[in-house]
Amino acid sequence: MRHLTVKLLALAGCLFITVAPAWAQQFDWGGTLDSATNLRADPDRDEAEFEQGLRSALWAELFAEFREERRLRITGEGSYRFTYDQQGNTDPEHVLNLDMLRLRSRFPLLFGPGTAFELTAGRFGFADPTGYIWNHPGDGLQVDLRFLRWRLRLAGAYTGLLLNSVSDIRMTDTDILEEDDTDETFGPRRAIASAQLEFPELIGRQTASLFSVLQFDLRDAATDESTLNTQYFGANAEGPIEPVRGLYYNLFGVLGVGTLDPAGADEADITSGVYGGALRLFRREWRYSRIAAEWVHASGGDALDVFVPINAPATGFAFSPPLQDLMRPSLSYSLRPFADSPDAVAASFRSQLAARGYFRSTTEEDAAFDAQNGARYAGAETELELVLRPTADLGLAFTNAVFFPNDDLFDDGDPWYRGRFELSVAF
Amino acid sequence: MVEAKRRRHIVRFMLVLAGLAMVPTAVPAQSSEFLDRILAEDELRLGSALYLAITAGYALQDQGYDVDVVTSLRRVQQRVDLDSEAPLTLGQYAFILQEFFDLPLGILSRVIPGPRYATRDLAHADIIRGRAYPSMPLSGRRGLRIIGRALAYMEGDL
Repeated sequence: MRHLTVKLLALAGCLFITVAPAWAQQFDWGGTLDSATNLRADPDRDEAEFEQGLRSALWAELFAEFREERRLRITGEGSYRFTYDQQGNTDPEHVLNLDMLRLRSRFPLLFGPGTAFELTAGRFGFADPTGYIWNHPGDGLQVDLRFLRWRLRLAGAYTGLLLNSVSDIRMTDTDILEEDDTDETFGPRRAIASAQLEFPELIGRQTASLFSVLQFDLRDAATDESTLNTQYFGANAEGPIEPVRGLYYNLFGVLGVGTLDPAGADEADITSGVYGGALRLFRREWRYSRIAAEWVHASGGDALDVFVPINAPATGFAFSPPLQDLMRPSLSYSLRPFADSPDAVAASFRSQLAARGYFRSTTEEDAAFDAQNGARYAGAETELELVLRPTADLGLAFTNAVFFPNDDLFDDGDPWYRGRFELSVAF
Repeated sequence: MVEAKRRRHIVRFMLVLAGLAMVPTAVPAQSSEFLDRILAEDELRLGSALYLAITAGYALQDQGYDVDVVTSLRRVQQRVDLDSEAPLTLGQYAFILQEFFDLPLGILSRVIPGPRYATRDLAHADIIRGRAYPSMPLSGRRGLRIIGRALAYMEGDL
């Protein structure tokens, strides 16, 4: 079945290449070369180690506009990725991947004035409004219905055709075991459906949305593999805080329920949650200053079960524990200190300073933190990011982070360090 | 607010043209009439684009900016087919503006100057907004908005 699907996808690709240029009114293409050099020092390594990643990608886009401003856009991107890390002196990893093959059509005024209908199909990125449940590519379909007072988004995706090495879906112990298994060509098979109902500017300029994500594990539960089916139900509110110019807030809460069928153990029901919020202040006249205070709490070890997102969002830079049994407040400030400079290169420079704290709900044994016992406070991380984007085709970034662990929780109390230098060229 | 800003850019450009009428150049006093003609163009013509670039170039020159209209025109001539009645593409227009004015230049624009990378450079600088395919045609109205933002960029207002 899977081979047949791959062949059908390849056939669709060939048809696209031969037929599409006939109707396309615009065509553009380009590429990127990205290099990322990491230096890490943490308890997983005996000494500081380098990791080098290179990614080269080619993209192409076809665009056509028909009567009544109906638009069709097809975008494809393929990449080659090379990664080498010193850990374990393993061979370099080479990955050839189809990152995106997306057809997006837009039909304005389809249901009357102020309405629009959008259809997106193929391989592209899916996400929920919070980004904490799933924010991952998949193969599927997304429909957007836009009316003046509400917007509805329905999406369905399958993740079993993504390469194992690029898939970040690691929800069960079976998923994690397969992560480095070179015999597994494709990543964990999941069918994911989502619905999102948004009410833009419901009261004043406040926007509220309700959403649901349903995740079905397509592994055979009768085998010795663990399966986990989950459903998430959430609400999100965001908008400006009117008395203060440039100040915005965001609040969300998600309830997650599901059924875990572990290999060789009894089935268990799961009830979990994640909630949080953010305040962001943007002032262009203060050299493009952005100040953000964020807070997120994912359940685990307390009244609720461990929260399991579909893919693990990054929770830090040097230290990035899974979003499970975690309370993470963070504060960041970014600005362009030379924004007023007549020199375009200097003006493009941006710096950001961030600080994060990590707390857990339990003092017991905790797999998420790889800690035996100890305190609720796990540690704090500081991060400095320097970004230079002097031209449209060149970008440089240098990110440095130090995590200061709590000695009561981690055996080795030495700070963790991660530095990354990125160079990006577009053509 | 966005519309107001657009209008401000167009007004700014018209003021540049009005200023131009005060100086003794070969550029016509009937500039507003020409401007109306450009605004009515569904597809911007090369002649119109050059008119906009040359008049704005001379006006900026008079304000002390380093703009060499003649040399710029020669460089454009080497890269763009000079048929004044032919519709212009967005990429060609971006390249003309890049050649005339002190606008951002990417590495590839320096190595392989031309419409393709000029479009990306101006889109990156927010001078071109919306869809930005180098081979797409553009209306006279869009052309005016783009040159308005290019002038705003030079003045540090973008």
